[in-house]
Amino acid sequence: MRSIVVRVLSTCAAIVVTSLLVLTAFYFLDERVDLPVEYTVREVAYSTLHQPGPPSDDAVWTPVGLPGGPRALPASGPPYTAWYRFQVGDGVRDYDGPLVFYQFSPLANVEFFAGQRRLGSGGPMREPLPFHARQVMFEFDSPVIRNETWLYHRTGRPFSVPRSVQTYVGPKDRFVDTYEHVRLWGFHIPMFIVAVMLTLGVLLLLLWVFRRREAAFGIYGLTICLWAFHILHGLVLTPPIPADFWFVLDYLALWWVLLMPLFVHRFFSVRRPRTERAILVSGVTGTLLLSWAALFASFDTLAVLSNLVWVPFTQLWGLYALCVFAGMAWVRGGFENVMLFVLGGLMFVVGTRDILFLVGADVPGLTFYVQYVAAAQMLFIVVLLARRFVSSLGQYESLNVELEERIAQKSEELEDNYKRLARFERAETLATERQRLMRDVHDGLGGQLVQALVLSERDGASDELRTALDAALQDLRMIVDSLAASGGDLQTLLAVFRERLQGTLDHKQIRLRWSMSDLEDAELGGERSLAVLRVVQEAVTNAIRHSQCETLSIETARLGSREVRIEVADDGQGFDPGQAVGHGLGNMRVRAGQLGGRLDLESTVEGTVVRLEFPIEPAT
Amino acid sequence: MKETASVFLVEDDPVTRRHLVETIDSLERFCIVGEVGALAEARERIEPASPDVLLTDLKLPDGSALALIEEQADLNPRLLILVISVFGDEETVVRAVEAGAHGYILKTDSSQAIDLALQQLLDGGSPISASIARHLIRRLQPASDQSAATQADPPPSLLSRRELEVLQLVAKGYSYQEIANLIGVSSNTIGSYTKRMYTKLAVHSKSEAVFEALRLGLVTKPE
Repeated sequence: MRSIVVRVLSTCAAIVVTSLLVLTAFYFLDERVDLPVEYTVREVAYSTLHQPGPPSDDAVWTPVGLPGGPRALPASGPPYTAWYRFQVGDGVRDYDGPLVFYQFSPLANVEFFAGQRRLGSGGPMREPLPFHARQVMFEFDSPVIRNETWLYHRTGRPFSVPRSVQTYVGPKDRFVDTYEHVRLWGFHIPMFIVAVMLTLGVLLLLLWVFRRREAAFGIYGLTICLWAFHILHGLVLTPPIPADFWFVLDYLALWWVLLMPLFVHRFFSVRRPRTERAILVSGVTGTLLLSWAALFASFDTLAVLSNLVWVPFTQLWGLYALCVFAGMAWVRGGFENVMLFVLGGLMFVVGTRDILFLVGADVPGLTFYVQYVAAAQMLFIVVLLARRFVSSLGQYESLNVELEERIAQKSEELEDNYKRLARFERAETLATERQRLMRDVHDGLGGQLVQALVLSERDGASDELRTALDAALQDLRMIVDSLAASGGDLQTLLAVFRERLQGTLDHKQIRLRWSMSDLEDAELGGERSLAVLRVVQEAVTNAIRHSQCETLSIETARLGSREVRIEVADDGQGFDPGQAVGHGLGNMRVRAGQLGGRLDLESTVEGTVVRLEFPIEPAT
Repeated sequence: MKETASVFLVEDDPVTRRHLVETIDSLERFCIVGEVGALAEARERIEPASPDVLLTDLKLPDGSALALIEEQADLNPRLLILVISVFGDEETVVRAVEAGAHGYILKTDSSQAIDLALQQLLDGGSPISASIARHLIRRLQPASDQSAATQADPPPSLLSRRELEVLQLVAKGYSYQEIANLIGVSSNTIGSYTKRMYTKLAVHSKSEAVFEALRLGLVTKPE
């Protein structure tokens, strides 16, 4: 609801602002055109004598009604040429300074005579006949012609007769300002607009040539080039080709402004293939018809076709484009869309007014104005297109940057992966090699030790030899266990150690108290596991050999989440750590150090406690 | 049950073989009905001997005994199979169990230990070690579910709660007797759990192998 109010208000505001701007522009265009009514030529006689030179006073002169100007011109037919004889008031006749003959936008060519003397012309008076909308002003020194018959010669197309073909003769001072003003707004500024439009149009076309996907750029470039040609057409005094074709070219240009809806579709990313086909079909049909009329039909047919069918039909497509603008302004909102709609609306209104003016309807204003609104609209659209272009460049840039970042990131990841893979491969090779070695040790050395043990038992060898052999076998087993492929799991290693120990303990009749906390996650790796086992084994061996204990206790406990304590305790006779030799205490301390842990030893006559504390993860 | 259980021995090392023959023959309830040193010989002689127990070394001069274990387990499901291991380590024993063995003895085992292992086997139990228990947990229990015993709704596992509990205690190094005391069953029961789990592992391994073979297109699924 709120958004609708905002849209309505912003649309109204945009319409008001734009209308004010346009009204101001028209004020400068029209209100400053100060045509001095008092110098209007009042009495005019008219002759249709077809001759290059001025007719004599004896020719047939028909009086023409005033003040509408030379209304008696034919409404149809071939190009005409007409002579006018006129009178000026006494004020002018008696004026002492330089005088001028002035016509505002005659839409034909005129020349001015005093008696038989030609004082000036607005363009060639023969084929190709121009069709321009430029004012004409001829200066003459008043005393020279004061008593001559004043004539003016007009040649043009029958249908191009605007109301404002009033003829003025008066003091030069009185016309200079108007002349300069109209020259600025009616010639210099339109010429400037033409130059800007052609430049922009060609630029847009070039963009499209190099990037065919941006059809909107191409279509719009073509549209404004055509429009520029249409304006230029009204400014050229001497057409480079026969007037009929020049004229037809203008209408074709105007006709193909119906490319506008195609552009609008692309601009808003609207897909309406059927409408577009209709536009193209009507475009081609129109071109063929117009060409046919220009080549084979009479100029009248062409004129009727152009002004009564052509231009209104083009205007219909303009109305369609306006509807799309309206829809977009309504649905999408935003300053740009509203502005496009407003400018489109103005274009339509002013264009319609110009058409009515062209066909001679009674509408306000002195000349055609659509070119000024069109310039504003086209400039706005070009700015929008440029902004789109730049923002898509910006998008490309940021995408590029992002892509580069991602590539850098990926290659870093790839490198990391490669390194990791290399590490894994090394580890894998090492593990495989170690496993092979262990299997050899297991099957070979292990088997032989077993054999030796069996032999020693059978042959009644000494206890010492048997113990030594057994110890060697146990040690080998410990190494195999800790370095096995799946080794390094502290809990299992301790458990396996206990399995090996049990026989000895049973033999010595020592009771074992076994208490294990949860150590499932304690994966120490082969080397560190072996260090732990060696410390525990040393402590246990000491207890069994020297303490004469009855009970041995092995306990593990977690200290926080990443540290473990292993405690080996006996209830034997104890020893003095300071005096102890052969207890392997030094070795135990070194191994505890390797583990990044601590070794505590307490020994009293009540027994001995060996405590090993170490982190599960190696210090980095 | 027969008065005396017959044992067929496959061991290539003459010293160990003699040691084992002497040890087993000296036991009251066991006697050796055949002793060979190679696979080929074993295949030839085991059928006529029809032993109750097959006691075999793994590494033999003409190949690994794993194939023999598999064949014999298939041929005669009632045959009790023990492997002779130097250390009873995970590496060797698990492979044997997967092939269908019911347990192992150590080459260094005393005659009492051998007697105990054979006795346990006849009573329907199997010896187990911590490393093997750990292996069983890893193979038979879904990885995410190591602590299933405490979970309200554990996902399907190949192990029962009780079996898992036993295995976890074995893996921590507790003896059968200690475990029996801890969870309130007899130590024989623990042995039978072990045997059952060995069978599961063998079956599980076979089904895995079949699945893998199907996947690789080595065999086709019967219609």
